[in-house]
Amino acid sequence: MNILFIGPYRQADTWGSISQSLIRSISMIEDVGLTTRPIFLSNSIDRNVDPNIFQFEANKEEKYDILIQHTLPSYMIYNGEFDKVVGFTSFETKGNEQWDNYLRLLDKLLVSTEAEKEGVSKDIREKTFSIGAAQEVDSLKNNIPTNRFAFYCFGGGLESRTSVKEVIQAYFSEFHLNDNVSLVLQVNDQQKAQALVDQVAQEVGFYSLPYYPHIHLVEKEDSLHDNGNCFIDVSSSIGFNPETAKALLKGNTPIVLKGSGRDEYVKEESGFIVDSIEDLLICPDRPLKDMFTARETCFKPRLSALKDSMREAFDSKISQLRKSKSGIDSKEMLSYKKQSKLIKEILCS
Amino acid sequence: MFVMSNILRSVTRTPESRFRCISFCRENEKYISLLSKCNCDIYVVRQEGLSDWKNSISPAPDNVFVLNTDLHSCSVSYFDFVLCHGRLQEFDAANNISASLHIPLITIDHVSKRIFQKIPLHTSVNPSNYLEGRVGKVNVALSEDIKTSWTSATHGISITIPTFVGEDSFETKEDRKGFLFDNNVPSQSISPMENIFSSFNCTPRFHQDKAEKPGDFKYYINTWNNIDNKTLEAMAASCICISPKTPETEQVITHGENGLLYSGMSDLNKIMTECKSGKWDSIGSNSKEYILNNHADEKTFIDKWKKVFSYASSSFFMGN
Repeated sequence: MNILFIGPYRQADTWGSISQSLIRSISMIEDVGLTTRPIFLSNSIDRNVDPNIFQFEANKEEKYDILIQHTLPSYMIYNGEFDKVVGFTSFETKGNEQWDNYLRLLDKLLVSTEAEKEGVSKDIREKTFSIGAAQEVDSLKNNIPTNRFAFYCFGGGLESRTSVKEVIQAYFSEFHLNDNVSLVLQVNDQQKAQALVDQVAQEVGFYSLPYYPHIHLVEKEDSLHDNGNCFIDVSSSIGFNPETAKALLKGNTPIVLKGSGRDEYVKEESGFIVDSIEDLLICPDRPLKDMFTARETCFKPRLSALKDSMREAFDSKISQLRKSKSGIDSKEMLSYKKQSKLIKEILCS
Repeated sequence: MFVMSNILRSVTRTPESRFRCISFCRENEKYISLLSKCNCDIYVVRQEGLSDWKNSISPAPDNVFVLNTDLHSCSVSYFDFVLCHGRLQEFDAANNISASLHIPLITIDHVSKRIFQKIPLHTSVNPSNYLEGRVGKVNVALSEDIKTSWTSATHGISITIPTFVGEDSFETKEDRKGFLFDNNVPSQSISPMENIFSSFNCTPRFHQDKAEKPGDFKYYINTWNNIDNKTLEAMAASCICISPKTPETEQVITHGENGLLYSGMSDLNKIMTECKSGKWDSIGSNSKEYILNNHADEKTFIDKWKKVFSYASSSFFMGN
């Protein structure tokens, strides 16, 4: 079986990471001749691509049986030269009917989570399959900080859908300056992030002076999984997040939203599932004109539930240790072998 | 839609495929027309600041499509390459198309790094200020000298493909008129010469809807800093070609042998006066012979370009 895979695996972002992971799973299917070609959806280029991928790029077959396109739905096409045309995508929201029109052309659609499958129109759901996710971590963390309990999350460019503001709101409303706790925020722009922190401090109304619980802003994300205790991912984006999976496998008891798709691999035994509210998506930062409009819906955290989960993570040491161990034991669920087997079944059916 | 189609095309095409190229025009009507003979269809797109296709210079061949709308509005499902005819003027736009459509960029250097068109006549610029990193996957130069001049700014594959002059350009009339000049240049380039042209009663080559034939004239004044296809055509028609003296024109014209070179306006005035007196009448046949010996090989031009397309099609895709 010859497969042509087109995806953003040369990108140094989440799309790139998921794409590389998918290539690895597909390459593990027996008797598959895999050819890959890159598509660039952003300017973030990964300079350290797995050398095996270059081998797949060097391949070229006379005839391909299956075309797999990993990209946004609006880029996907149908081509009759292939026996099967398959799309793999990530839906961050539910109900983008514009995108459904592109997906109707495809023979099969793959997604990472059941939550994303629920996000497409009913007529497409029949040919939509959740293939789960695969993730590995290099090692168990070895720099566990002993002084403060560290919550951490990735804020990036502080786009509204990261829900960083909600995380700070919950953190400020639950903890005090005297608590031996820290919230570590990874952000691209520290000045902008500090302005957001100050704004939230003022909005919650507890602090007449800037004496709020400890917040630490960092730009690099390299060692956060090794140094943090509890990863918070309550972003309004639905679907798989490799960082959440890494945190889980590092035993960092992720706090995730109910219905977000992350709750399909983070369980109550290994992390925290926070109640969510499904609501209209109001997103000022829109990467494409037919993306992230208010015709779509997304999940937002219920703030009181989020702060309760943070409190529980901080207070319940024994429960935290149990969850942490359970997370580390999730390796099999997130294995490439498992995902590879599932993809093979779907492609051959 | 183009992105995925173009990537698919990069996998499924063969070296024998007929290729679809995107190009700008920018006074390259003649070269693009020649290129259209090389197993490709050419889609000419508009770009602000670059001139449109002028039919009076060369009517667009059947397989050259001058687009009035943007690329996404034309009924084409994929493209293979984007062609850039000028690293100074077109590169950014061509490179953007290359990146957004995921197709390889091929640069065609009509002039050496030393001199650029669209810069006012006799003005050279410091290329290193503008040209770092402006390279294609394949870089085609029109002469060895041009290729050598670009070596430091060329990291891709380089090849020299001399341009050619078609058979019909060699036609010459017995009874020939005086001076013909190339008026297809930016107005700032031609304004210093207007008085001279007027005093010698020179005829502009291009009109709104037609072009004069160089073979109908005895003298041809090249108003560019280099020797372009239009000048080569005039030389093929035995015109005595008068060009500005630049490192570029000196590669083709030896003063007093197969053409004339001038340095500045007073020199131009002097040379034109000498022409009128008949001093240079004997060199017209030399220019024709030069073209016959150096720029009449259509087959090699086509074969080499086919090889370029074939090589680029099998070797490159976006990202490699």
